[in-house]
Amino acid sequence: MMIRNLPEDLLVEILSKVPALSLARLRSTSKKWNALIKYERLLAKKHSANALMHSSSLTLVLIDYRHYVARFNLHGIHSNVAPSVKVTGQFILKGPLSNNSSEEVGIRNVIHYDGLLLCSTNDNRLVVWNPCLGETRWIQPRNSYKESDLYALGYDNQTQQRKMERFLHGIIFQTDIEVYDFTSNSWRVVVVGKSRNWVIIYGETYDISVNGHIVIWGHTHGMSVNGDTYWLASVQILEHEDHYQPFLLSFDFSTERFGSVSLPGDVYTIPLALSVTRQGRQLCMLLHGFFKSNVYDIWIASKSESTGAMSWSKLLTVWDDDIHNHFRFRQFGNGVSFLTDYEKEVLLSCNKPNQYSKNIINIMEKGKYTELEHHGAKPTHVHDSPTPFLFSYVPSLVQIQQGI
Amino acid sequence: MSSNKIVLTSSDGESFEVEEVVARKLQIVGHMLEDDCVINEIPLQNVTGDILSMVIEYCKTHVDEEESEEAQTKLKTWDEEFMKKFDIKTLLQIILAANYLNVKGLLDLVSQTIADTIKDYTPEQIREVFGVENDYTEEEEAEVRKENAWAFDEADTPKP
Repeated sequence: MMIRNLPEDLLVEILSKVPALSLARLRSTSKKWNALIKYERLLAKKHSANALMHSSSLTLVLIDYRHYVARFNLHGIHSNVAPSVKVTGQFILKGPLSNNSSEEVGIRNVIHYDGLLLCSTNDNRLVVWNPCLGETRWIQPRNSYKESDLYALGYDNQTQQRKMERFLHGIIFQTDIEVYDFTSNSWRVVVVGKSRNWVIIYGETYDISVNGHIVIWGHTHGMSVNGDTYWLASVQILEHEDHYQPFLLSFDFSTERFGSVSLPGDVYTIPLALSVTRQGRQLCMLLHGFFKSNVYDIWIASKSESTGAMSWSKLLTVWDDDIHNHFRFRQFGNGVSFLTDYEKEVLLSCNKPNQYSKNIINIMEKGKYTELEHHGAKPTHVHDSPTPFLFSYVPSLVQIQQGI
Repeated sequence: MSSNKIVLTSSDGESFEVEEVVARKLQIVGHMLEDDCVINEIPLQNVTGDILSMVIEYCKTHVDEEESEEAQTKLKTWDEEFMKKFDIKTLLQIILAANYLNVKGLLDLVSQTIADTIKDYTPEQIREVFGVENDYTEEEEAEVRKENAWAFDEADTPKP
């Protein structure tokens, strides 16, 4: 018996209703509890089924190659108390080969789905990580990884329905497009580079010099929702060589095909960044006005279950009345990441520090822009640090090997 | 519905006379009645009188589960108030009883209440309440705690 009096099936029943964040903490209770939380398949399965009931999302921020937990104090925003953020509680990613706990690996970029973080590291390695369980899987490339590789993380919805299992896949764009299967531990080429009449380029939108290409905006982050991954991208308008039409590029892991989704808003709004809702179930997009660059719209996407078509509805509009702040907003386009607190009707966004301010997270309401008083970890350099990345993360007990 | 009375007797000899429809909410009793319909006194070995009385109170309230939204809301409010009466140790007794007596609704309700209670517990509190022996060495425990240090400090997070 697991513990005095209480049978293990009852303990599993209880723990399947406890948020994963709390379970990460309760791993310290005893070796037996740790093993139950880390390895018990039934608990992971029940926990995932209950996921809608327990909301334990964390806000993470990637600063200087490390993940931290960002904790906000926004209580006073409507009563003139300065809002603040505390950036602390680092997630430590250890290298694969060594048991030496001091060897920490820097993370260049991250895409997250279902409690798993797919990280590309500073030394061009690739790892899938569940920080809650302390589980990592280092993924070997067919040849080698490059800094310009782009990754996605999702799962095959159809297979999941058919077998009631979830197969997670990673994807990499080099010359070829490859899909990694977590169950067979191998990469598979799904599109050979030479056979395509189009190319995906991971780059800045500012220096487009290619014809007939889809350009993924290198400074924005891809987001995974419901098994698919999305990126902001552009495609050339044929009649106007130097005109590019922005759109939303999707990758469906069931069909292993790319698709395009139309954008919300109108021609007078420009997309800036993607994000997911707190529970990770819906895609959000931040846009700003072409003429009114101090006005920001946040739209939320819903996917029709029958047709799979995506529709948008506007969640929130925020702006700043102080004209002196406008030059700061110009920074927004360059790698901005964001979250929305719709209860408080605010936009939280994260940017590089600049010559005007070392604070990186700010808040925009209806008519007001405020920088959050920043405590804890900050970018070390103003100019050559990577842009910090703010995102909402839902911890889970999903095991990397099998998914659910 | 039958207004037949059934007597349920706890492990410490306390007897409760209840309507058959209430007793049938305890699936363990339901099965016994199906096997032999002339039973009118049932001994329940694994549950004490004080806990059994709580289970019966729950079953009486849930005896006719109406589908209407109003009735459901009322029941939910009653469930919440009912659960507030108990401390964690009593809740653990009730979940054991609900499991033994096979009362599905109560099992769900109590496991959720326990989960909501322990989610903010420290590992030390868990050990005490659940009677768990800490079998980590000091170094091992420090290592696991370090790995999960990020989970030990919760505060206000936004609701995006």
